[in-house]
Amino acid sequence: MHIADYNGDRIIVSVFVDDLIDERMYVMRDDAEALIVDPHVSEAMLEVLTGVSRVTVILTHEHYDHISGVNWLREHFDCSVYASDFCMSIISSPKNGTTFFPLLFIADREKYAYVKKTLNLPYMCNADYSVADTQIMEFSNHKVLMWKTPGHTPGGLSILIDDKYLFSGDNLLGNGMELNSRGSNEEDFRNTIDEYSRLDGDTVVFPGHGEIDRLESYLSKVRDYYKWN
Amino acid sequence: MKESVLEVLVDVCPDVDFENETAMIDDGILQSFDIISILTSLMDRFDIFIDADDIEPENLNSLDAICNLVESKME
Repeated sequence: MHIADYNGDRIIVSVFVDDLIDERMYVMRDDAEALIVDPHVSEAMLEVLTGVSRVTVILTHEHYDHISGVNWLREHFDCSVYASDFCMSIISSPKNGTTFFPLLFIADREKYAYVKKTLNLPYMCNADYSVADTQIMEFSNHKVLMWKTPGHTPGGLSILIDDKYLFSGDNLLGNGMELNSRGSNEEDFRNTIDEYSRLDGDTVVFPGHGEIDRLESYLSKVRDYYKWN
Repeated sequence: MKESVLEVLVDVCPDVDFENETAMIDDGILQSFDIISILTSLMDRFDIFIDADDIEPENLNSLDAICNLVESKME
């Protein structure tokens, strides 16, 4: 579902939410190209991307809800998919953990059965380019910095556009769920939070789930939740 | 086998009475993150692969059910 358009400095970020788990997909476009963070299947997105032929996709981490649209996107566009080296290595494996995704709903047997039946798991897809440490690319005259930020998962990757807009995946959720995941690592997470802390507090955060907010607000929630001073 | 499975379960969720509980999913004793951790640990410990079709509440409600699941994947 297309829920909003964020109007930034020379950039518009279209926000899409999937109806299962509130996963946020972010879409930016110019005349012929688009940049998509964490794709899920969305017919509404096709309307936003009318006229676009080439798509750059960046995956913030390897969880099912953040990669579930990759194969579908490739059916519609010429795609180049970027991920961290760890994420790239695991998402193509049948043992990538996507079979566990329906467990998020196991408390509701009906929904659990529906999700299991609807999704064809394990879901496997491929990235085309791995980001080993840090990489900078250009998209429509915007600087796009990608760097590895493990914590929520080992394959975490963050994206900073024009030093103003941070796509953090699930490393910034503000509700204590950052470390509540298979593969979460507190030491890595603290290092990632330290790296985020060196950015301007007014940086705008586009999280993997939840609302767009200032970085300082998210960092404050994280420090409060984990009782870090 | 049962003792080895119990060892894994207690290691993941030390506060759960696995030997006596019979409705760990239905009663909400195990949350989704616990289950994922348990399944991952069982796969590592017994070198088995548990796929989506195996993951049903009935297979996870009790220690005996979990043992049966593990044994079936080792065959």
